[in-house]
Amino acid sequence: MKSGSLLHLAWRSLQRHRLANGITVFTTALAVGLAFAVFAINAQAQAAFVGGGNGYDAVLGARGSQLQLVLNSVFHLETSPGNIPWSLYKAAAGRPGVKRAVPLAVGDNYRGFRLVGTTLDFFTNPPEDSPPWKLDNGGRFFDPQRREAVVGSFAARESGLVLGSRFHPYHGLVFNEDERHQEEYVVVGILEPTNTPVDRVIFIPMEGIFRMEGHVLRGSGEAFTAESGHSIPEEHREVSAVLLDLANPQIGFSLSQQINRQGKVATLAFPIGRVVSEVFQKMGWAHRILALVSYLVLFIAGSSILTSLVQTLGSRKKEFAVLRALGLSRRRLFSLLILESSLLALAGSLAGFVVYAVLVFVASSLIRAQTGVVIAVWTFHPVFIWGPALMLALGAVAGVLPAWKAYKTDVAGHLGG
Amino acid sequence: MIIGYQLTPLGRPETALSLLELNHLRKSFDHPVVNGSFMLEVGEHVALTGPSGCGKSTLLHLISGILRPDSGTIKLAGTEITTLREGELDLFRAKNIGYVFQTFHLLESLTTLENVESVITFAGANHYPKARKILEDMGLKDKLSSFPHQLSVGQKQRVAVARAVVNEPPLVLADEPTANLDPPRAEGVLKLLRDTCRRANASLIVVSHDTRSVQDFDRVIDFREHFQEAE
Repeated sequence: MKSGSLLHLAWRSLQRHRLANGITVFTTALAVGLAFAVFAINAQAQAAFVGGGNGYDAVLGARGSQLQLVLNSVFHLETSPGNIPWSLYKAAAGRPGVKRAVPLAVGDNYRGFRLVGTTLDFFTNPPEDSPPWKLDNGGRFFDPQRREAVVGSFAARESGLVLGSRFHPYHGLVFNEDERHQEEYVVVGILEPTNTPVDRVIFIPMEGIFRMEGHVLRGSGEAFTAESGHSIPEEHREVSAVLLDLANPQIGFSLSQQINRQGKVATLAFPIGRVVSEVFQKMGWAHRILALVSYLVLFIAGSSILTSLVQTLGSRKKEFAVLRALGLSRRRLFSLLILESSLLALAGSLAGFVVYAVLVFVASSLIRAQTGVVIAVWTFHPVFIWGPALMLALGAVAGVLPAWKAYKTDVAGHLGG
Repeated sequence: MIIGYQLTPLGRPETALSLLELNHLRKSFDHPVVNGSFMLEVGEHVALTGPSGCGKSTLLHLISGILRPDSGTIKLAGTEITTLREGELDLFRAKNIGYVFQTFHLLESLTTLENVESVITFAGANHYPKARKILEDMGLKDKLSSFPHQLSVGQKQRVAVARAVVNEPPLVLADEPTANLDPPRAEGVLKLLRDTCRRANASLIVVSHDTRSVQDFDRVIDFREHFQEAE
């Protein structure tokens, strides 16, 4: 860097007031990092949830909210809206255009991690765009006729379940020690991490849910309790939801028309991504408020740059006068102050990426812990470009007033003793 | 850089040519502060004396173009500077005038070397090695990377003088360079200034309120007599 160049003078000046400028850069970094987080995390979370159907296109479930159905059966959140008869599952599975139909039954947990009853098809015959369900070394999928469990990676790690572990499920979706079932299950497989909600789930055979002590089946409308050693007639069976993999979207629209508009028994959530994206649309006002706050914080950061420069102006009048006397033009002196404020904004913007990294680490950990969804936080988002650009512009604007003051410095008046 | 006149191989003008001409120069604030004419020869060392606040510094600011006169002309090295636009005047000043301020006014954020190199950049030149050489010749080899607050008063003086002459200006202006210094130190500063200007063949105008320290200058001018009562 050439001595006396504007960049050199600006850099040295910022170094000289490094404490005040360091605080300004930190403040700016917080503002930029926050803006990054608000926009990028929202976009990536939306992308992760909207695309979180594990390859399935629709969910069939009890009459009620499509969103509740999706949250319960795909994201393993919320309570189940109710059950539907086994016959509906069989009817859906047999419809032309339905490539796969996988039943799910919920209602129990182990230390807060949901038990989901399903068939082996869930693991062995998934949709083409489903994550690969791989087991840790030594594991296998459950035998549908035995009390065996396959545990998601996060659930295994957090609950302490390992291959060969034996455990008793607890009734309900919320862990309550007093609600322990008598049945004992053995862990036969641990799933490798999939970065999907499945990581938080413990899968057991569908039959296991049906036969769990205290469970009453009402598939036929009448209460039925399974007895050991006796098969369960199909008319009594019921499921919480059915995941459907469809041959094409037309099938989904047709099914939706029949089930949601003409029928009164069940609900079809289709397409899953659209149902989830509605949540984000409904919550759009919250995002807009956060965005507004981000803009405000960026503006405050710009103001802190202005404050930082203005605070040092008084002590720098003599410096400006000397620079002018030595031949630095007014125009270049003006530019020097603009450059200083822009450098502060630039440094703050770069440091903003570090703040963002910390924020997203915390946010993504929380989201993963709560939902199992892993958001791709380092995926490019336009805010990574326009955020620093906006901050640079604000920084440059913040430099105008100090630059003007420097421009108007009374050179002769400040060269004395 | 000397413009408009010839030098002998020894660096002295063949004849006494004027470097600076002030004609009927007038500057007033709430009362007339500068009012007079003056001529400085090439290589001449002149001391302007007078009490503090009488207008000596204002005259230097007029000569350097920092202030504009109310009337009159200022011709330096053949250029009528009152007709220059501000940007031209800034560059002209950087190239043609070396300035030594009362308390040296080194730029605190720059190192010793950077202080001297910066004025080379301001003048649009690139003889950066010269900055190092002058400082080394002045015994500041070990202080090139030091900041002003790390220098003694004597070292600051030398940096200020080096900064004033590094662009080889035909004219060096020194505004009370001995103020607040004890007599031996004041004498040392003036000797350094004069020797350096002599080697660089630069004319020198030193403003001082202390007549004793400038007795051996080529001319000693009483500011009030010359610029406030003459015309």
